[in-house]
Amino acid sequence: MWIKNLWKFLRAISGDDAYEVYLNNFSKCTNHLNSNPLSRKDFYSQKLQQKWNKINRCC
Amino acid sequence: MTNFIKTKLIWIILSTLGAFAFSTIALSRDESINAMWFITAAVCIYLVAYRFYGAWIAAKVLVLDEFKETPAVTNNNNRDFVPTNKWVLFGIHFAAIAGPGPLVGPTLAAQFGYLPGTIWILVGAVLGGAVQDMTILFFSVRRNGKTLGQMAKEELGQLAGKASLIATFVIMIILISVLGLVVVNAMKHSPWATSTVAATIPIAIFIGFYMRFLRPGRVLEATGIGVVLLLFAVYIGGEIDKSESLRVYFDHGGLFLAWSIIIYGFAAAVLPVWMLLAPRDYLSTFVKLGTIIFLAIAIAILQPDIKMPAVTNFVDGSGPIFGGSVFPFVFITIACGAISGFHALISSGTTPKLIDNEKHIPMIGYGGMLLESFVAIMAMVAACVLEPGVFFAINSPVGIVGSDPSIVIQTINSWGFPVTQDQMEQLAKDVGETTLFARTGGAPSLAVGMASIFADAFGKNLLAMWYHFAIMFEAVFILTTLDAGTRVGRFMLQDILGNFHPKLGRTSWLPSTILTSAIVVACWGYFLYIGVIDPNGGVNILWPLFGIANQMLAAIALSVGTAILIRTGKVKFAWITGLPLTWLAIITSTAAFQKVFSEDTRVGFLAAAKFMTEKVNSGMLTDEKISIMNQLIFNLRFDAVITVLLTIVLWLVIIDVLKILFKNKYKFLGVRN
Repeated sequence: MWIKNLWKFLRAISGDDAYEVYLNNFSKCTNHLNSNPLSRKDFYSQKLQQKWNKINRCC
Repeated sequence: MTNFIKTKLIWIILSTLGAFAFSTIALSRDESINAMWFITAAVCIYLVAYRFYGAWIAAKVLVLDEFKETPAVTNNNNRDFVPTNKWVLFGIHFAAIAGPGPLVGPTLAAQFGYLPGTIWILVGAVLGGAVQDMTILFFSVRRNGKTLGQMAKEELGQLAGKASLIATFVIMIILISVLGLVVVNAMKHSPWATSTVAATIPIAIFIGFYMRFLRPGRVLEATGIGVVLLLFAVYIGGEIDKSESLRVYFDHGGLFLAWSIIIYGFAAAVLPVWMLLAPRDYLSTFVKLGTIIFLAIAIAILQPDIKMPAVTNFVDGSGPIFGGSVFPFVFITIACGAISGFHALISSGTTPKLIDNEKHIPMIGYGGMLLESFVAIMAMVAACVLEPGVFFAINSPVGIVGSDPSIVIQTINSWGFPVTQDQMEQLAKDVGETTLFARTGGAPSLAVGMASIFADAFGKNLLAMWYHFAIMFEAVFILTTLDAGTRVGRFMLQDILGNFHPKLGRTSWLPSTILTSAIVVACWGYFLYIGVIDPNGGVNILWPLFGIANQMLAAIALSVGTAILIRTGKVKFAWITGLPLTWLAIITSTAAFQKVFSEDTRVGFLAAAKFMTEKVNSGMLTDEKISIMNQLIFNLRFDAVITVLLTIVLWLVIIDVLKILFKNKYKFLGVRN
């Protein structure tokens, strides 16, 4: 059981599950009823752009 | 009721144990002391500080409200504002704040002995760094995730806003150059290290393509493959080192390596992030966390003895690694690990947008810093388990001890640290290097320390592998900081240039990207180049400069915190940030004054410049030497100007804080009456 939790934690912390989280949030969010979610590839590249457009690594 | 007593009892035991361990470290004058005392003291002090001081600030001073919605909840846009699980966010925040700083600083500061650095790491983190990180995080959460620059502008005025921007840019440039220098010194004439570090570039690019096209977004799977490839690269590096025909391709002097890093840095800033920067960051984060956990386990299993004396004679300022006495320079040398202004940039703007509930703030802000401080303690242990003679032989630059091994040994022995030439040769052979003399910058001695701990704990015959693994580990995330820093520098520059020419401000416009990247790379490339041609190793100039700049940014962040506390009617609590602010103002001003005006040529920029000018005028030097000297003289004066400018900026900000205090003095008096 703890191995499963550790794996879940690792996936969350590394952003491995980010797309699934995004899809999950997307389906719950009514604002998006008229549009389709991004593909996995587009989501990933958009996420990287956001992540590296600010200071997020330090000394 | 029994539970209540039990909890009390546990905290009493923890406090006593911490106090006992700490006094053992502080008072021990034995030949050696066990490293477990360091770990015990640190862990107990962190727990007690977190439970009592951190929690007190959260409850009484900041008054966290768990029912107040955070910006992540109110603005949740599934992009930058996202409520995040607190453990996940702790990991993200820690990965962002912990870089190579807490590893390099303590290693260099070990020249004063283990005690001054250890005390500063523990006290500085608990009363300064962690408080800064937590208060800035809280204030930014309450201000919709505003950045430090924006908060400084709003709370202290235009000047403070600009000051924080300038200080950030200066730190970035100096940090990147000194880190570049650390990597260059680790790779100099070491085919094994050079080939391994070089191999990390194609590996990162491969992982980048894998995550972008083959299996988009499969971070863990791709990183797993990458880590295996990195370990393989360490092994292959050893084979290359053994091969006479291959090793020549990777056997280079400092200048060649410096130029390679400059070109690499430019490429990394211009290439799309998915190709090099992002995959390298995934790899470095995993290797970093893995190695730190591994090191903690190894220290716990092995329980090595600390061989460095508690305090060395070099506290008077005559140390070989960098000039300057223990006050103020131990507080400047160890910035990250005790208090680091850079953290305020992560704690504002980035992390606040992910906080799910205000009650998570102590753990992420205060706790995150304590963990980084613990990394610094482990670096201190790794440096101090080495025989002091070996430590100084590795870290003393040619300009101080000369380049002839027998003279180096003689000099170090004359300081009272026994070491023999055979010992150094055998050690170099064991770790797969031709020599370990004058490998300044901290990375090689940290790698030798880590390798000896790993080798003793997990297998002695692999010392060379462990050493080069440690070098790879340091290089891989130093280069990540270098890539990311260059990119951030570029954005800052584009932001500034956009005021003059809107098109230059567009981050997606290629000519602007190339121009601004080139300017940023040229800035740090200049300091890197000077550091490489400097016979004193360059680190002795650049690291204190970085420390001063970083502590000044911390002072600006604490000024913002103090101003907000005063403004919001909490004058009587303003000391929680005001006290560390005062201390930082004292140490940075003293250090800056000494760096500029000291008569000691190893401390004062101007004195060193004068000394060199006399040497050049004496006519005893060759043309080549004169040209190097002239560049060094210019650089020393330039460094003096930067230091003076930073000090002026800091004091202008502090005057702003004092003005606010003065305006609110009636409130203050009212509270006291």
